[in-house]
Amino acid sequence: MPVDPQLENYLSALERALKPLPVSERADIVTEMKSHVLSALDRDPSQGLSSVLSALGTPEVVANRYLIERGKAPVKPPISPIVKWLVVGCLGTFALFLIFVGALVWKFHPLLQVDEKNDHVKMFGGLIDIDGKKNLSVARYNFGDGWAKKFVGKADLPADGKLVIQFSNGNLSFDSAEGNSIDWDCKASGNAATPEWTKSDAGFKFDLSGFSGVNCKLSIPKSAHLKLTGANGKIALDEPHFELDADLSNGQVTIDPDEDQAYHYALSVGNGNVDNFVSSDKSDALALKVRLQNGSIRHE
Amino acid sequence: MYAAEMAPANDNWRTQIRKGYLELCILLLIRQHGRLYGFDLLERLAQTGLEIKEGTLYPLLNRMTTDGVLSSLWETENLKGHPRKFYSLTKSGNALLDEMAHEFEQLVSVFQTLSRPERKGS
Repeated sequence: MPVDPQLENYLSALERALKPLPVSERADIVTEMKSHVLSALDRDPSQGLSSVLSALGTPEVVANRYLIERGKAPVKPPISPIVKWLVVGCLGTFALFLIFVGALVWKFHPLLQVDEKNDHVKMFGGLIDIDGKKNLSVARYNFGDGWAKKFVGKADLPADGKLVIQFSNGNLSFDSAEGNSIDWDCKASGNAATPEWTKSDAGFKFDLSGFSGVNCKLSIPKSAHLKLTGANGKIALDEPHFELDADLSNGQVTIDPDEDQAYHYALSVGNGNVDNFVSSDKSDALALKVRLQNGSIRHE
Repeated sequence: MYAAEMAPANDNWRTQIRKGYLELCILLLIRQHGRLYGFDLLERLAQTGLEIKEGTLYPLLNRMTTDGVLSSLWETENLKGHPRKFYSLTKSGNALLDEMAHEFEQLVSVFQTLSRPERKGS
């Protein structure tokens, strides 16, 4: 006689719950329970198996009654699978969190290290590095200004007033010096040597073309005649009192003329536009000559 | 007045008295019929007005068997039927029942004496 799977499950659960009893007794109890269920169904077939089983109570409750009658400790109800997996999930997440924190601590140890000798403060195992000049770098990426080299200086304008500046890429701004000396304050990236002003046939020369990028502020004395050559860049002229002859491939030139000074402009742009500059024919007008291939020349 | 406080104690008392009483009734029924199987016993108890849950009866029969009060025998009454576990009294079971019955008679007697309204004036 085939046994209903529901009854089968009930009986095997009962058998498991009766674990503290000897095997032979367990089998006897299970057989008696099966006999009871079949007797109940024989007596009143209209009642379902479910109602007969629910009248008995859950396998765990029935088993515990047997165990209590026999003076044995009742079996704890099995942990529901949901709770079990929740616990496993929580423990797993916690373990992953611990591993993560452990890795962080290991990676970023020591948290704070002050190196007075080299004037450095390192945090999180060197992740954040602040040097004595308050340059901040994170993960070896320099958040300071990103320039490898800085150089400032002063040089006397030569008698003929001829100056030559060459650069590759950069941002150069010029204003007028009060005295007779050239001042520069530069930051540069690249591995070139710190440039010096040198005498050449074309004039007193400052060669910045060795750097991949420069950012310079220069003060040019009055009566100087500057020849500027560069590839890509931004040039700013702030009230210039010197003459300029500039050649630039790509970029932007901004001129902020001194209202009290007359200028004679010769501005040309291959592809781009030029703002409106009014040239003067006065004899003391300063010549500002800019040839730009691509870009714009703007009036500040 | 003390009804609320009395209720749990009342329940406990009933459980206690029922437990001993139940064993007595089971033994009496089995002796009366010679032998009985669980489901049959359950029905006969119900007929006498003693409602007992199957989940209580079977563990009790199991314990009484291991105590040596009852003996059990698996038997299949007919070819179609399923095996049934028949319980009968052992020798010590018979002795225990006599003892229990005597004890119970005394208890009832005491109860009747005490609960009888006093006829002799005070």
